[in-house]
This record gives sequence, structure tokens and C-alpha cells, in this order.
Amino acid sequence: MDNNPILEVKEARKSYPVTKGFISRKNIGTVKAVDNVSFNLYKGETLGVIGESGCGKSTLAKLIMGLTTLSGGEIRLKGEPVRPDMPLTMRRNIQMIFQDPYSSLDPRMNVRRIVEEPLRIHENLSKEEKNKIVLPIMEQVGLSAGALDKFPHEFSGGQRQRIGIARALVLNPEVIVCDEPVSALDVSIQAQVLNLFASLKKIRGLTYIFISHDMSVIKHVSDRIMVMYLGQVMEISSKRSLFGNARHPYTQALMSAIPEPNPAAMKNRIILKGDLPSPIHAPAGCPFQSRCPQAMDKCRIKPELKQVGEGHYVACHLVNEGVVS
Amino acid sequence: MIAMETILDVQDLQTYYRTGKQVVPAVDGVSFRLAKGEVLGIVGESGSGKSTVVRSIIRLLDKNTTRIENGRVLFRGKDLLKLSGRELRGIRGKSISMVFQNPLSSLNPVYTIGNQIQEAILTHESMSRAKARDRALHLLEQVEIPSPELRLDDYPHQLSGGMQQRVLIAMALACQPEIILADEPTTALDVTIQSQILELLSRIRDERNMSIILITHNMGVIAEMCDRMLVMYGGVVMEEGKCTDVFASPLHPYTLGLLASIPSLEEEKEELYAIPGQVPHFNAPVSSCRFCSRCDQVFTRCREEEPPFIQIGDGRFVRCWLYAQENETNNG
Repeated sequence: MDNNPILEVKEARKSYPVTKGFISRKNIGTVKAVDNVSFNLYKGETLGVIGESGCGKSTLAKLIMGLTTLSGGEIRLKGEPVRPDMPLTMRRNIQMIFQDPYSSLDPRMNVRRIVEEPLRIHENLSKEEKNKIVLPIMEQVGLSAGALDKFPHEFSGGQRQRIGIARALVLNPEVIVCDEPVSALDVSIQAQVLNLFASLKKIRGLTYIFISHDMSVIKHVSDRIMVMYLGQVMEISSKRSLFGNARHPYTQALMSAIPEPNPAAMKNRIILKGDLPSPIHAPAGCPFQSRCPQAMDKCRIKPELKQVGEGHYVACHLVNEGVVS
Repeated sequence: MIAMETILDVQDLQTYYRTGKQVVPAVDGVSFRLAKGEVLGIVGESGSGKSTVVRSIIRLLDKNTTRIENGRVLFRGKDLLKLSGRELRGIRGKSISMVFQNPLSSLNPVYTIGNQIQEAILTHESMSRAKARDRALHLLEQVEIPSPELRLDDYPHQLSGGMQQRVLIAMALACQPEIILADEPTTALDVTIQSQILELLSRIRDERNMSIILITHNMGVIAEMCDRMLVMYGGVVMEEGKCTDVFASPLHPYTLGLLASIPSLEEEKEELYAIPGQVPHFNAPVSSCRFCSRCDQVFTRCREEEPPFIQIGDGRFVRCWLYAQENETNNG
């Protein structure tokens, strides 16, 4: 991490109003979807974001893409603030790949129109010039040139995801935000797409933000990992440090909950009690206190992110107490 | 293992879908036995026919498009495929019950959950409403729903996904079934909730000595829960065996590929093994190995003849010409 970060997220917040009634629309509260999230993203790295449903990982993706306004804090891409009204010259540096390869492609456009659409918006190119950009990209994502004249319904889920990846690549962006890009795919296809992400990273020097709920996928792709719970960062660290020494009780529980494809590995499972609390009634203080096996009185006060090792930060009071070693 | 009592015996089951002029062999000759108290896992990717197998067992299929062409499903000596609708309804939901994948769409949104559990009980047993309500309350306690007396009058949308799945399990348990068919019961849930539900299912199995058929695409869930497993692909079973054996030494190239394509938590892999291509569409009759277009050990015979289900050891079967050849060369 020698140079300046390519993306800086500082105390980003996003809250949505909760309304009641159809006509009067009374405000009865707010959901803090993303609450005080800060991190830096450096060129060429992959930051994995993991969390369960409702933890704010997709809202974070929207904020980074400038698809929705921040309620507080700031996000800077190469020093410039990210906003919904940011100029096109800036927007082309950050592109997104979506979860559902079925609903993220327009069924009435052929693949050529889908993949060339960003070029039509951002540049004014002739047919030949567009072909010069699109054809090598189709090859890189493993699709034949003949695919350009077909429609999305003629492709399987894995191939559609490749089309989505090609569309994200045509503007030659520096950062790609991947929101659960493999969770709709079967394992054998998932492996193909994960390998494609790795090879594109090598060829094009891409920087990824990779959002997933699957810890084994996150571990495979990431250099650094951020664990989120109810809109807040619980732990952020390099992959090695997190898997060698997970400090937050939530991270530990999340890791132990993953069923391993090995019947011989009988591990000591931490089974969390209860459900994720509703983000509307998020507990004051540490958001995890209602399910934490090691909760104590102090957890009613919100813990700050504390550094516990090189590049390893944890938001938990146990760390200060020295209880977690 | 001691020879256990077989409770369900599926023999050469064939279920075909008809779409227009095409005939799709969704399940094409599947046989297995389920022992009392056993958890049998069926693993496979989408389109492998795993859901169709369990739906065929209790005939939860669309009559207009689906036909069970052949086979027998013996439950306590009776062939479920030959029963009349009335007789079948006496078994479905009572002796054999099912837990579905998507809990919210499996519950009726306009009835309270107490009402729906009581319905499951009163369909099969005659008792007063008050008694049925007591039983429903007791069931909610068993599936560890907090403050069950309050939840009984809740509507499905008032519960979280994990709680809804617990309600479905409670309904499946309502008449003390001998077999539970669980079709991807945890796929829609978060991992921490998934581990709660899996623990609940294994506890119930232990307490009641029930048999479970668990369908999943997640090899980890199989390893954790099951005694024996079937690996399905293209409507047939590719490999069968005890979980410990299959995970320790997978035989079929498809099983090997599936296991290698899962990113591991324990070791670092630079590149994942990826099974090339995609699941092809099949038309009946199939006259080659169904995996031959994606197999990395394919040879001529695979493309010409469908391999038989070859026994390798005790309860260990594989459908692959690689293993037939070995036997033949040994013999010759």
C-alpha cells in the first residue's frame, strides 16, 4: 500500500425514513442502512465485504457507485467526491456487476447493444471503433463474437453473468463493484466465473469491491475483508490476519457457521441465538449485543473501531479488555 | 453398519416432463433405499432432477406436464405410485411430510400460523380445536420459537425467514411423520440461521428416530448432516455411498469436479477447478454418459453407451465406464 488510495470512504452514512400510512406518510423512524463506514481501497486490491441480509452491503455498493445520496460523510474516487450528479468522465472509472444475471440484462436488446451501451453513453464512436473495443473484451470474458447477435434468453446463467462482466469492462474502468456476482450460480459455474474474475484482475490490473454472503467465496477472492453487521463495520483486516486471528465474536460465529465439505472436520460450532434484529429497532450500542455469546454491560455503549494489528481493526469492547487474545 | 430396517424403497423411478413435442427425462431410473433413522442427502446442481425425485415420492407433480413413467415407491409394503388420491392423502402430511425451500411462499399469507398448523393436525386426526391448538403450541415449543403463545396468532409476514422455516418444520412434524422430505430447507436463509435450522433438524431426528431425505446443492450441508448421499446429474444418480466414503474418496469425475470447484476455507488455491461447459439439455432416450460432454476423462465408450450403476464396495455405487473397464481388464 505505497501510493494514495483510489477510493476513500469516510464515515459514510445512509439512512432511510420509515413511514406509516398510505396517504399521510408519517415518519415513524429511520433505518440506518449504512452507519459510519470508513475504509480505503488501494489500486489492484480486492476488498471483500461480507455480511448477512440487511447488513447494508448493497446500500454501500449503491453509495460507492453514486447511485444514491449520502446522508453523511464522504466518498472520494481519485480525490473527487462521488455523488449522483458526478460528471460522466468520473463515473466511467467505476462500474458495477449485479447479482441476478436474469434481471440485469434487458431482454429486448441483443448482446451487442447491451455491451456497447456504455460506449454509446460515454463516447461517440463509429461501428468499427466500437468493434475494436468490444471484440477483445468478449474474448477475455470467454464468449464468442457470434454471441453478439443473440439475445439474453439464449444464454445460461453463467454466460449471462459473462455478458454483464463484458458490459462493465468496455469503458476500461479502474474499480469494479461486484454485488453478489456468483450467488445465483451453480457451484461448477461459480468456479468458472470466479476464475474469470481472477484472470481479468491479472490482465487489466482491476480493483474490486466484492460483496458476498459466502465466506468461502470471499476468502478465495479477497486481499482484505470487511465484516459488516446492521450497517456497521465489525472488523476489517487483511485476509491472512482475519483467518488466522478473527477477533470479533460475530466474525468468529460467521466463520464457524459455514458447513465444510468434509465430514471428518468436526468443528466446535458457535451457534448464535435468535435472529438478526430489525434495523429499525437496532439496539443502542453494539449492534451485535442481542446475539453475542460474550455480551456484557459495557456493550450498551457503542464500541469504536480499534487497531489490533497491522491493518486489522475491530469494533468490540472485548479487545480493550484484553479478554480476546 | 448393522442392517437397518428399510422404510422407503424407491425402484427405477422415471419421471418425464412433456413440453410441447419434447420429452425431458427429469428423473431417469433412480433407485435407492432409505433406512429408519437415516439422513439421506441428495446433492446436485439445478436441473439434476433432485427435487423431482422427492416430489415423485409423494406425487406432488403437475399432472398436465409430468408423468411418472415407470418405477415403484414402496413405503411399508405399499406402492405409493399406485395408491388412490384418497389413500395417498392419508399418508402425505401424516407419515411422510415435506419441508419446502422458500418458507414465505409455502405459508398462506391470510391465515395465522396457529391456524395453519391446526389445519395440518385436523386433516389427519379428529380432535377438538382447543386440543389441536395445544398441540400446535407444543410443536412451536419443540422447534424453539420464543414466546410461542404469542406467535400462534401471528401471520407469516410477521416472522423472520428463520422463524418461518421453523413453523414449516413444526407443520411437517404435526402428525409425527416417519419420513421428512426436506427440499433445500436452508438455501433461502443466512448462514448463522442455517446452522440453527440444521441443528434443529438433527436434534429432531435423534429424538424421534425419524428418517430424512435432505436435498441441497451445498456439499457442506451434506457433509454436516447426512449418513449417506446420492450425487445426481442429468436425472440419474452418478454416485452413491456413505458420506464419509464419498468425501474421502470420490469416484465419479463429476463428484470430483464438484468438490474441487468449491472454494475452500482451509487451503489457499490460486485457481479453482472449474467443470467446463454447462449442464446440457437431455431428450429421452439418452444413449451416452450424461456427463460425457463436460468430463475431463472421457473416452469413446462414454459417447456410445450409457454406463451402468456399478457396485464398487459395500453400499458404494458409481455410474462411470472408468470403473467398468477396471473390472473387465482385471477379469480378462
